[in-house]
Amino acid sequence: MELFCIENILNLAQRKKRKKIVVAGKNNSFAVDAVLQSREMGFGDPMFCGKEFSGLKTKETILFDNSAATHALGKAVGMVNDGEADILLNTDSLTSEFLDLATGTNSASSRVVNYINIFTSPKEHRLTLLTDTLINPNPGIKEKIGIINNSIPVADVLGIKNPNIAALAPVEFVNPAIKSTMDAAILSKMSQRGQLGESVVEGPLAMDNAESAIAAKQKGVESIVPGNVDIYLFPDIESANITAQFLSFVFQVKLCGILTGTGIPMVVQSSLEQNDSWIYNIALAVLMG
Amino acid sequence: MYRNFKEIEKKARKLGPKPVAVLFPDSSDVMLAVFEGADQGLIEPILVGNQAKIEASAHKIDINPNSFEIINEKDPQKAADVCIDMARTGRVCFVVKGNIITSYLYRSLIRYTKANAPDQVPCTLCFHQADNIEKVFIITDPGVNIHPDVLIKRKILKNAVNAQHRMGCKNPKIMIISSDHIGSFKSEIQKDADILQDLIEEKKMGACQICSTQTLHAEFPDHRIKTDNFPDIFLVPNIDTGNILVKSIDHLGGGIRQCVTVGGEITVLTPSRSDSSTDRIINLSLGIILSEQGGM
Repeated sequence: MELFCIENILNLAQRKKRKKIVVAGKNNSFAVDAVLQSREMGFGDPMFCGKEFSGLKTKETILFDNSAATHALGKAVGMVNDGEADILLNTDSLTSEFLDLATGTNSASSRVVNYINIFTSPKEHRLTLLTDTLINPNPGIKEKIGIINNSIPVADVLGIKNPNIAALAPVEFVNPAIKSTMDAAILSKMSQRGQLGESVVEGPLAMDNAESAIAAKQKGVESIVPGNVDIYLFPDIESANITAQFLSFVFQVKLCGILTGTGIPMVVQSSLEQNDSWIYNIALAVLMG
Repeated sequence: MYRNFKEIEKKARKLGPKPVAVLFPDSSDVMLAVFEGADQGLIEPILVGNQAKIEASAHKIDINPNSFEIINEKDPQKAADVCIDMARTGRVCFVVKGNIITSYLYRSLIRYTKANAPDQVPCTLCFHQADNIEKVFIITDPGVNIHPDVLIKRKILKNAVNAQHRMGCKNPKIMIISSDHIGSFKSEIQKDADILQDLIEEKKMGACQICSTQTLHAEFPDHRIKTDNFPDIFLVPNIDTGNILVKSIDHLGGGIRQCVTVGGEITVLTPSRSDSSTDRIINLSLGIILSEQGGM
């Protein structure tokens, strides 16, 4: 079952078993409200870590209530790794120290970590993924393969089977002077040979060709991906993050997101998203858990 | 300052017709835009390309090709050179890309600029209209410079500032836009932004101002965009970002995009080959506004 808008992610999460969510970081009222809402909606069971949360309006048990935010975050990561919680919700800003902490203590430490934003595509009215909008500044082929492998399960929980992936570049021709076109061509060929799992990767595709089968055909691109994209794989963090900034701020497109490749579902704060996105991010993590 | 492309079209109708060179107008949409542009008093077109194909395209949509001057040049690179040369001599005010890949025109314009205006650099300026912003803003460079260094970025910005001045925006606000970075290190892009910020603050870039921030969320932390504070120019770090962003604006965001490429005082309209004749009329109007006062 394919979902058509991000609001439906909440409905899908409600059909899942309630997940233990360990909350650590700063006392961000929007994040706290969202995790309490997840309890009301039946898919979240929050546990708060650290003295930051001692002043909550609702009566909650606070774990490690003498610990400062950073220390409590470390304890929270430990709880998820030990299986005492299912999901980690970090209400603090995303830092490299946190990423090291989150990825260094589990079996997934050698994997690529990336951030995926999800929105309802205005033309097709269906969920579409953008990645990597936050983590890898200049991913090479190896990292892009990791990003693709991390993205396919996210598409899967949203009901998108065998996703169509557009490997974006500024032009549809392979140009040795433009690295993104070379990377996209390699990924596209790997996909043809079945090396990229249950997905179809096409590239290089400029955004107009990716969005329109007719425009792609005019430029000689014959593929099922143009006009039917589930995942946009961006060449670098600048292109991904700045595009997401414009969608979110200028066009007020609702974005939600999830950190993947960490081995355990993690909800983090992204400045790309509006404050009301926390609940969707939590629901996504529940689906991934 | 123009709030939207409708205002630009309205103004262009008062300023036309302008002589223009149209490179390879051999598709129905391009030919229809040429015909309508001439009919509406915007342009006096000179058609450059394969004469037989041009005539066939005209006949296909029931237009008499003899109403326009045609220069028969089948080789796309030579035809692009002919167009740029006509702009150089002042025979035409600007050049319009037709049904041809942009790189031919880029190549001609780069060669010309290098030879005749070595202190300048050609770049593409994309003009955008978005629903909730009451001004036309520029994103640059999504087309020509792959990984511009800070010196090239300075020249790109100069082109963009000049273009906004032509559009009646006397003191354009610039954002050297960047992504969020995890960690406290400064990326090369942020270092370039610091240098450009100093140049702008020292008034070395003409009349313009700069945002102290490099992301939209830092500039608009409450997530509410206000037209007054919204930048008039966004300088993007590289061609990947620029090209994907400008196309995402119309394909994913629902905005409107119009592209021109400038260099060496020459303006070249570079619409997408898939643009409709209606889009192309807006593009022609933009060309007329930018070519006023003797071209870029």
